[in-house]
Amino acid sequence: MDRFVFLTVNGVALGAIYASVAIALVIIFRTTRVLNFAQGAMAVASAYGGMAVIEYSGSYWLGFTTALVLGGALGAAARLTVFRSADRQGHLNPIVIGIGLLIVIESALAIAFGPTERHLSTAFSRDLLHLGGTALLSRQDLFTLLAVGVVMSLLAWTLTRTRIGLQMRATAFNPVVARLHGIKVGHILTLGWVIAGVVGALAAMLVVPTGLGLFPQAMDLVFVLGFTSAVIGGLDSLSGAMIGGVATGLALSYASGYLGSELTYVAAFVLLLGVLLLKPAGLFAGTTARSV
Amino acid sequence: MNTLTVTALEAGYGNAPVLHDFSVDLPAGTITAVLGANGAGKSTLLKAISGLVPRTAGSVVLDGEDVSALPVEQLMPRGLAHVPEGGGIIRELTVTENLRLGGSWRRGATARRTTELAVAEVLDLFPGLAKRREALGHQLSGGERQMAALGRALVSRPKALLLDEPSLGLAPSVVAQLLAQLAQLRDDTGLTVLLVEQNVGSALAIADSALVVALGRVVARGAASELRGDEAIRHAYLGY
Amino acid sequence: MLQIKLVRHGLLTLAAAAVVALLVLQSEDVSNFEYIQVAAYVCAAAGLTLLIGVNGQLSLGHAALMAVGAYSAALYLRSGSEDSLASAGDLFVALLVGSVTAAVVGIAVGAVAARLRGPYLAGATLALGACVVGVTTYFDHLLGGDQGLTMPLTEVPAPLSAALTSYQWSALVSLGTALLVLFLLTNLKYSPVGREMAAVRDHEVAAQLCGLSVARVQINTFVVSSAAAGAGGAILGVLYLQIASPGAFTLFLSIYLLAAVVIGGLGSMRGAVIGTVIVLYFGRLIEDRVAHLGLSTAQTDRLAAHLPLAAFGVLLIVVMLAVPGGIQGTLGRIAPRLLQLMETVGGKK
Repeated sequence: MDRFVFLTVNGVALGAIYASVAIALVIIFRTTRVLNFAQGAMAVASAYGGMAVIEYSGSYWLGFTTALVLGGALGAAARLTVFRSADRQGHLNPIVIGIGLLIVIESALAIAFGPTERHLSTAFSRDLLHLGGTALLSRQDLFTLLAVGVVMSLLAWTLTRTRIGLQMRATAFNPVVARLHGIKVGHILTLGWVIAGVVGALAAMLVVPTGLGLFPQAMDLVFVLGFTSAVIGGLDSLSGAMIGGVATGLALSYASGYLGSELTYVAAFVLLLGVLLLKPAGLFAGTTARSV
Repeated sequence: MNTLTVTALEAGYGNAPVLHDFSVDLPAGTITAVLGANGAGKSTLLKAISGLVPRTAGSVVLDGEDVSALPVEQLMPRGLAHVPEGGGIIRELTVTENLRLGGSWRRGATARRTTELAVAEVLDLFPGLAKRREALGHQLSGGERQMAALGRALVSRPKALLLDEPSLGLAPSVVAQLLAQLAQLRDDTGLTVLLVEQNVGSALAIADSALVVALGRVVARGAASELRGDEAIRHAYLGY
Repeated sequence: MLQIKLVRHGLLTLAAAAVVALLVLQSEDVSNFEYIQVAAYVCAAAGLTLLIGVNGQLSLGHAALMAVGAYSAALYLRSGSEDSLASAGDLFVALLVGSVTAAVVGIAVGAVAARLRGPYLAGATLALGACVVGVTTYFDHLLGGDQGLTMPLTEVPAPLSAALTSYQWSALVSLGTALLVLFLLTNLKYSPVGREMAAVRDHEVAAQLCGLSVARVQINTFVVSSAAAGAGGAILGVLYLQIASPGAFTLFLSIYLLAAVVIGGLGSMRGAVIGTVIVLYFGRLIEDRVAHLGLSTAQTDRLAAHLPLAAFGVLLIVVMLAVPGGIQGTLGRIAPRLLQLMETVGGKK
């Protein structure tokens, strides 16, 4: 029973991270119909930036902030350069462009920082806190939940309560009507890429030090899990992506806890295929069909 | 004083112009109806004025300012609202959110208050819509959708309004009500409207003047009352 | 009409085989070793060309199918006695086993893929590629975990052992297999089955209205493509790397293949060959240039390992942006020019 509780808490904390990646993917997909395969690589690049600043300045929080800012800047840069016209092309081109960007970033990082693992510290201790005799979760896990929670609430508030949020939603659902109402659709799309970049960088700063360490491909597998979460949510629903993230986190936590940690990614694949086959439109799909 | 002046407009898709040498003046506080058969270029005219279809020649002057070179998104802030065919109500947003969209281009300290005020006015104007303010776009009936679309355009407090077939798919009684409300708006607030309609009788009943379009050209124009009486034009172009 | 094509392709293949045989016999072991890699990549790239170019399905997980080919060939070869050499017969059977096993896996993957489109298919195949490490680690008693499975050495058959070095023999077998794959896939492409594949790519609804089962055609294509990838994987594992290990079948291999197929023009088998040669040759060229920069060993290694990948990334992006209308077909024209450019660059050193 203790083990089950531990795995559940652990799964939710991991799920928060997968949800962040999923949200980064969904924000871009719902406005441009582009699935950004370079999202994970961009997040790793941001984390490298954060690491460099931490090493240079000695301040974790300065590095943390740098990573998020860098993530946003990379998002804008990707949108304004290689993905500038991607939403107007067929579905193959943006995928291949994303893959191209992915290996450019990952090999550039390997050349600049070396292919081997670098140390990125956590914000807080990873020692498990005990609650009534049960080892539950660490301060870092709490920070993860809090950080993701704050970001998600901020995002939800922006989307539903602000002028810019209304513009973003209008652009996502009907860009022509949005333009007719004075919305600068291009700027709004770029803003979406910036937000996605920030959220992706946050995910990297949270998952890298607790996971496999910082190396150029560190987010490849996390990307797959984020994609799985996004697909569970139907790829165009933000709340669906969050629930999908938690579901993925729980499923993987149980799979690795009860079946063996080697099977984590196989379990993710099985989960992804299960969702794609049984519920092709995603569990929380909006109005768009899957045949993009 | 003309609120909107379109001169020698030519526009189309690719190398094939759909509109040729198209001119129209909209005096302030009037409704001008654009009539013609399917495919005559009526919708293209509105899209060309608001910049959704590329213009290849001619000019559009709004309230004394030449807006021909401006992109679509800069026209609403300058006072030109375009209600596209079907209304363009966003299915996934509520009625209130759709209405707010009409003012979402406003910036600055008073933007929010101005827009909320305008939304409240529109809900007063269309009591049917006020009851449905939390309904999503796709839950609305055809009539409610057109009301919301018209209301959303009004929230921007436009100088000129381009209205594309508001009667499409609506029951005749709903059409009559909607057009009566439009006429009322013109009389009360001095709204200037370019109204594209296939429903010739209802359109001419409220319009001040009208033009008849065929194959992308103006083939007849005049006061609405004159056109109503002109047998030849009625037979040749209006089919009733 | 079809017969004429068949005869023509057959004659072309025989001519190519003669040229290849001469090339192998004239070449040093170092070159022949490289030819093995070319052959392995050509098989997989040809399969991927059929899938992406002819049928319009994107796969980012073909490295996983190559891994299936390599591991199954390894399991077959190791089922014999431990330290004996693999005979020619064993080798041929191992390649066949690799190809068939990958095809069987391809049935399952294809059945899933047929229900997916666009980014969903790309993401799912990417996830498939990510499974290789997990599966090999989980079944480490069978698949050897991180270390992988070493292959027995192959033996040049007795009548030829005097005339051929071991590398020449391996190169002949590899290139021969690649030619066979190219011959079969080219004929398939021009057969009625191939036209069904293209019809599904061009317009699913129209193909359906003509009475085609879109899913069946897509699954068939995936199976054939997997078989080709499996053969390539078996060649790569048995003859080139002489080991089947998870580190050899990463996302990067899938991207190499994608780059080869995209650069080659997506659609023609000849393009697949040209694309593969460009990708491998281009990579070597960069490594070579890097070695002459006079950097420290560590820096040189780092650049040599990653600069080619970065270059392919840039190339993928540039090709996609330069041909925004779509990647089907039109790219074939740039490949020869690129070859020309590389010759000019390569000639300077």
